[in-house]
Amino acid sequence: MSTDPAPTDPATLRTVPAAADPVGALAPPAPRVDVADLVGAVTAVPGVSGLEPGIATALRTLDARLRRSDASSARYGLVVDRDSGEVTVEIGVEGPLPVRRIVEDVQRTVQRAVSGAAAEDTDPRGGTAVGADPDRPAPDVPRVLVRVQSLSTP
Amino acid sequence: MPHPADHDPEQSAPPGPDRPRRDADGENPAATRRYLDLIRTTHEEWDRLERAGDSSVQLSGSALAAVKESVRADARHGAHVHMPPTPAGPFTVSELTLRTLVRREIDAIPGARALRTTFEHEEDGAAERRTRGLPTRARCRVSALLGTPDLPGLAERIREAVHRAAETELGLTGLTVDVHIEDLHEH
Repeated sequence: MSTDPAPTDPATLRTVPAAADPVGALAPPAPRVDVADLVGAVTAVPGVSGLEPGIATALRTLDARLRRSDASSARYGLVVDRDSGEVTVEIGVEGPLPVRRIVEDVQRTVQRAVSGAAAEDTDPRGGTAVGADPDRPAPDVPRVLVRVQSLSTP
Repeated sequence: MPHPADHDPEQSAPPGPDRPRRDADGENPAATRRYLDLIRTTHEEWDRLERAGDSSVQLSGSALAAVKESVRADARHGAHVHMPPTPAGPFTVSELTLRTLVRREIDAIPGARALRTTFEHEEDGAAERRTRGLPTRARCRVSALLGTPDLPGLAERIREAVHRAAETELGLTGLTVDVHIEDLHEH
């Protein structure tokens, strides 16, 4: 079984135009990646059995849906805080890999996805230009909090 | 002992236009009125949207079910426990995850069966509600196979397995593991 994290090529991830999100437009630099893509990236990480929300993220998702103000930032079990830039991921884990390894793979997968999308936002010609211009700051790497909700035993 | 209301700034100061009255039972009529007004306004807004054919006020059956299930899931998961962060960021595990991990290790040892495990935690002043600090001690209650010749040896194998799993799986070092053999089973 491959233990490499899921590929998160920024070119394959959709971004949310800043103008489409009035909340984010007023906030400091924050992840712009579409959460639907993050869900796919996270659940593809080896050892992740699925997103497993608690009541807090479930209600937060519901709130975002009802307000229709920031629908791209919350799914059950995965919430992007546009203000703080923090991403919270709630997962169930399974399989032979150590829990800590799975968690780190999830964190790096999300960070790569968000940073790649942020770079794409910064440079509309494509995300690969980050680092090419020394005067341009590298996109912020978000803080990714992973909450392991359950562990499935074989 | 002073009544709790004595320390309530809303109670100790005289009611005024900006200061709600609260009676000795902790009731707050102004807050209740605001809540009722909010609910009334919500109902009116939903009625208006529904009459206009706006489906945004409706939740799908699965969306509602997810919320209900998340309440049950929260009860299953228990509190969340801080773990040493990975090089990429912070993480927590639920009490359910911790117990499952310990149970898996103990049940894999021939002659041992996990019963119940509890944990002690570091104090964590910054912890949010329903979040606990790093585990410092695990108390593993187990059952041993009847006729096991070396019960202290069995306890030591359990201790080592739990200790190793905590380190390998969670990066948790220095966990004290107490083993209580509190039952015997035949098979």
